[in-house]
Amino acid sequence: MAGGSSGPGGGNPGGVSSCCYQHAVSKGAGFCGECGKPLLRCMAFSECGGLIGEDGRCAVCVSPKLFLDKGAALDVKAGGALVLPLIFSNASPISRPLFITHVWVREGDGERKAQDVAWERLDAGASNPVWVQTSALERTGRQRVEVSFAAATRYRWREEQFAFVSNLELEVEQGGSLVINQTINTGASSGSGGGDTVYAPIRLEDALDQRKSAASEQAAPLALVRGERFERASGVRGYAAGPLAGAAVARSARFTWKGFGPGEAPGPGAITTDDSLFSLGRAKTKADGGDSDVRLLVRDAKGAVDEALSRAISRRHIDLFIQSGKLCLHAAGEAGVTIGERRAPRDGIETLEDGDVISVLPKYPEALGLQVRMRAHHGSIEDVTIIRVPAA
Amino acid sequence: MKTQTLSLSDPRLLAEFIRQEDFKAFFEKRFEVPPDHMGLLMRNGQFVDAFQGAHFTVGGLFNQLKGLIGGSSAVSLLLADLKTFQTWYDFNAITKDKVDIRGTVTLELQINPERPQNIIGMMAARKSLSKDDVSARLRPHLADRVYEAAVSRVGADEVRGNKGLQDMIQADVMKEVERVAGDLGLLIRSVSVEWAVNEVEKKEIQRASALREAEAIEFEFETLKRSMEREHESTEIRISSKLDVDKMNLQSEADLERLVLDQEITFLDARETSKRVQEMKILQHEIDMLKSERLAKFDGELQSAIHQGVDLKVIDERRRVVERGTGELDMEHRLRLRALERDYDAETRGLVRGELTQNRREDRDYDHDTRDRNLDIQGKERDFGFEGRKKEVDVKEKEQLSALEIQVRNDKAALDKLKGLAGLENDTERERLERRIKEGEVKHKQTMDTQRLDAQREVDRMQLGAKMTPEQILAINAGLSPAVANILVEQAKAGGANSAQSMQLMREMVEQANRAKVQSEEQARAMFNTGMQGAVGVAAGAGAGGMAGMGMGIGMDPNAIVECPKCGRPNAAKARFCVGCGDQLRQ
Repeated sequence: MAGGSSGPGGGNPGGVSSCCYQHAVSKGAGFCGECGKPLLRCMAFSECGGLIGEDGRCAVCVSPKLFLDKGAALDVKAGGALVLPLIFSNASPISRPLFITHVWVREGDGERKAQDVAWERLDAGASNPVWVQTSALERTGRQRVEVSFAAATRYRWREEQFAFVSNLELEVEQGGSLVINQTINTGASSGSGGGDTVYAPIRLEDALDQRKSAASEQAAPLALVRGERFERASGVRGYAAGPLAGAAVARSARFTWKGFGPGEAPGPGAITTDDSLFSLGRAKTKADGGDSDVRLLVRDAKGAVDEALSRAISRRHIDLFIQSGKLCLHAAGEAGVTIGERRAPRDGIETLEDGDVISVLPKYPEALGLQVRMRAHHGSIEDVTIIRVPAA
Repeated sequence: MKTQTLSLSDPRLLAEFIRQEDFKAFFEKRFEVPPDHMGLLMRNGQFVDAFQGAHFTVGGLFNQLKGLIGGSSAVSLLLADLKTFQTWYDFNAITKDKVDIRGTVTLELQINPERPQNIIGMMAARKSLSKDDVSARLRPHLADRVYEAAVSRVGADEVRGNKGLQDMIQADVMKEVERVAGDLGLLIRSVSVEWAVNEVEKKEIQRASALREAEAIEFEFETLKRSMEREHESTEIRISSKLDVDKMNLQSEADLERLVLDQEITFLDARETSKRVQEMKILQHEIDMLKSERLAKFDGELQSAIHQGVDLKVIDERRRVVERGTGELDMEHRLRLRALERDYDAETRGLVRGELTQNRREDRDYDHDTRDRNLDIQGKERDFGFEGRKKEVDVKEKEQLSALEIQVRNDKAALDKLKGLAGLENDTERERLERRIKEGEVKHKQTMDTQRLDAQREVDRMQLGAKMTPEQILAINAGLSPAVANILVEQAKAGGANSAQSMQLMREMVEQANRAKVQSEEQARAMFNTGMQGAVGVAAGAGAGGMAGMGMGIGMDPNAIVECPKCGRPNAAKARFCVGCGDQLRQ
C-alpha cells in the first residue's frame, strides 16, 4: 500500500466496494446484499465504520503518511553521516489515533537498527517528527536507506499492528568540491610590464548540488509499502515461533465449528459480526435472541445438559478474534480459562496455537474443552477449526 | 674382564645420575646398562646420546668418553628405569548426593622410552627422581579436575562396580597426565580406583542384614504359626450357646455378668473337653498300636512253637499229593460234565427240529382254514358295505341338493344386493368421468389458447423482426406480446438518456412486466400509470445510486422484503444476496 492511498471517501478504500460499506451499516448483516462478499468489519467499526480490506487493514483507522522534511539533505561527502528529518502523519479522516510503536533504519544490505522514538501516539491529522541518523557513509555513489516502522491501531483491549517500509536513495560524493584557482593578470598586455594579478577561484558545482537546492524547498512525501514479509519475520504480525512460524491468520479465515449441538454454533465462515469477534458463552445464540455467537453448555455422557456445571460458565465466557495475524482469546468470564498449561485470568488475552485446547472450566477441564486446529498455506492461515471436546 | 651392571641405588628411584668420578673408577672395567634401563649420556648439561641394553668395554666407553672426560667438559650418565611402575594414594570426593567417599587410585606410569631425556624436567635437584616425587607432582592436578569432577556426577550407590566411571576417570587422568607431564617424558598406562565402603553402602549393608534377619524371624514366625494352626485344627471346640434365650431372660447387670461368666466357663469347658478328647484319641491310638504289636508277637511265638518238633517237608509233600489228587478229580469231573452237555445238546436239537416240523404243518393247515373263513367274512362284509354305501350316497345326494338350493337362494339375494350397489357406484363413476372430461376440455382449451397465442406471438415476432429495435426484441424474447413490448420501448426511450441507459431500463421493465404477468397493452399502460412511477424515477436518475444502490427496483415498494430460503432472514426485495448467510437470492 502506498502511504498516500485514498481514504474511505476516495471511492474504493482498501479494495472494499462501496456497496459493502452501505450494507455493513445494517446491524447484524454478515454479507453484502449487492455483491455477496462477507462484511469483515474493523474492530473499531462502531467508531470508524470501516471494513477490512484484502490486506487485512482498515483504511479508515490505519492511514499513516511519511514525509521527508524540508531542508533535508540527501547527499553527503564520503565519510560523513547524514541526518534525515522524517515526519510521521496520521491521515485518518476520523478521530482515530495511530500509534507508531517501532521505527527501524537499515543502510544498504546491513542490519535493521531500531530507533529510539520518544513519542508513540499520533492523533488523526497530527504529525510528529523523527530524526534518523545514518552511520558514516564511506562508499561513494548511490546508497539506499530503508526506513520501516510499525503502526498500531487500538480499540479497547485490542490492537492491530502493521509494518510499513519506505526507501530513500542517498548520494555519497567524493570529499570536497572541485575548485579551480584562476589567475588573471590584468594589464599584462600593456607594454609596461606591470599590471595587477587577480586570483579568481571557481567552484565547479555538479548536478547534485543543483538538485539538492531544488529538492529541499518543501517536505517531500515518501512512498510507503506494506512489509508483509517483514511483519511475519519480526513478529509484528502472525506467528514468529512454533509450528506456525512465519504464518499469519487471514482476517477472512473460515471458521468451522465441530462437535456442537444443533443451533449452538454458526455455520462455517469468517468473522462477520458487528464487533468482529466470536462471543462464546452460556447465553443463547443471536439467532435465538441471545448475545452469543456460540453457545457453551456442559453436557453429560447421554447428551443431557448438566445444569450445575453449565451455570459455572459465564453468559459471555470467551471472545475469539484475530489480532495482528494471530488467533487470540479474551477471557471474558469470571473464572478465566486455561489453554493447555497456560492460565488466562479474567480479561487476559492469550494467543492460540494449532492444537491448543481451551479448558472452559479450569476446575473441571474434562467437562468442556475447545480444541483449535489451524492450517497454513503459503504463510496464510485460511482455515480455523474449533472442535468441541467432548462432542455434544 | 669383569662386567659391572649399572643399576639404580634404590628401588624407589626412577632415575639417577652417575657421576664422572664413578666413571673414572670404571675405566678399566666392563659395564653394562641392563635392557630394562636406559643410560643417558650428558655433556655440559646437554643430552648427547642414549643407550639401552648397552654393553660397554672400557675401551668402547673410554673411546667415547675420552674426548669428554679429562677435558674441561662436565660429563654425567643418567640411568633411567624403563619399567612401568605403580603408584597409589587415597583421595576423598563428594558424590552427587553429597556423600563423602574415599578411594584409592592406582596409577601405572612409565618413562617415555622415546623421550627419556625429558625426565630431567621432573628432577628437582638434578640428582635423582623417585617414584614418589612423580606421584606427588601429579596428585594436586588430578584431585579436583578428575576425581571430584567424575564422582560428583554419580550417586554414592553407583560408584561400586561402575566400569563406565572407571573408564571416565582413566581417560581424564590420562588427559591430565599428558597435559602436565607429557612433555616431561612420562607416560601413563592405566588407572584404576578402589572405593572404600561409603555411608550409603554401609546403610544398604545394614538394611540388607536387617532384612535377612527379619526374613529369618518371619520364617520362624511362620513355622510357629503353622504349628499353632495344626494344633488349632486338631482342637475341637464346641460351643453351645443359649445366648439369645439368656439375653431375653436378663434382668440386671448381675445377670449379664453371670451370662458372660457362663459363656467363658462353657468355652473353657469345651476347650478342656476337646483337649481331653484329643488326649483320649492319642491314648486309644497307643493302645491299638500296643495291641497290634502284642498280637503279632503272640502269632510269631505261636508259629515258632508249632514249628518246633514238626517235619515241615513231610507235611509239605502230603499237601502237594492232596493238591494233585484234587486237581485230577477236578479235571475228570469237568470232562464228564462236557460229555453230558454234548449228549444233552444233541437230544435237544433233535426234539426241537421235530417240533418245528410239526408246528409248521399245523400252521399251514391253520392258515388255510383261516383264509377260507376270512374270505367268507369279506364276502359278507362286501355285501353289507354295498348296501350301506348305497344308503350313504342317497343321503349325500339329498344333502348336496339341499345345499345347492340354499346356495342358489343366497346367490340370488347377493346378486340383488350387488345390483343395487353397482348402480350407485356407476352413477358416481359417471359423474367423476364427466367432471374429468370437462376439466380436460378446459385444460385443452387453455393449452390450445396458449399455443395459439404463442403461435400468434411467433408470427408477430416474425413479421416485426425485420424492423424491430433491440429493446423490442428483448421484450418479445422475454415473453411479452408485441403490443406490450411497444409500450415498454416507448417508456424506456422516454426515460433513458442514451441507448445504454434505455436498454438497462428496458431490462428492468421487462423483468417487472413479466413478474406482473402483463399481457395486454391496457395492462401495461395501467401499470405505468400506477406502479411504474418508481421506474421512471429510477430512469430519470439512472446510475445515480440512491435508491437503486440500496436495493429498490422498478415499481418495487421500498419497504418490500423477501425471506432468504436458506436462513429465513428478511432481506430487501432488491438484494441479490442474503445479508445473513450470503446465499444468492437472485441473478
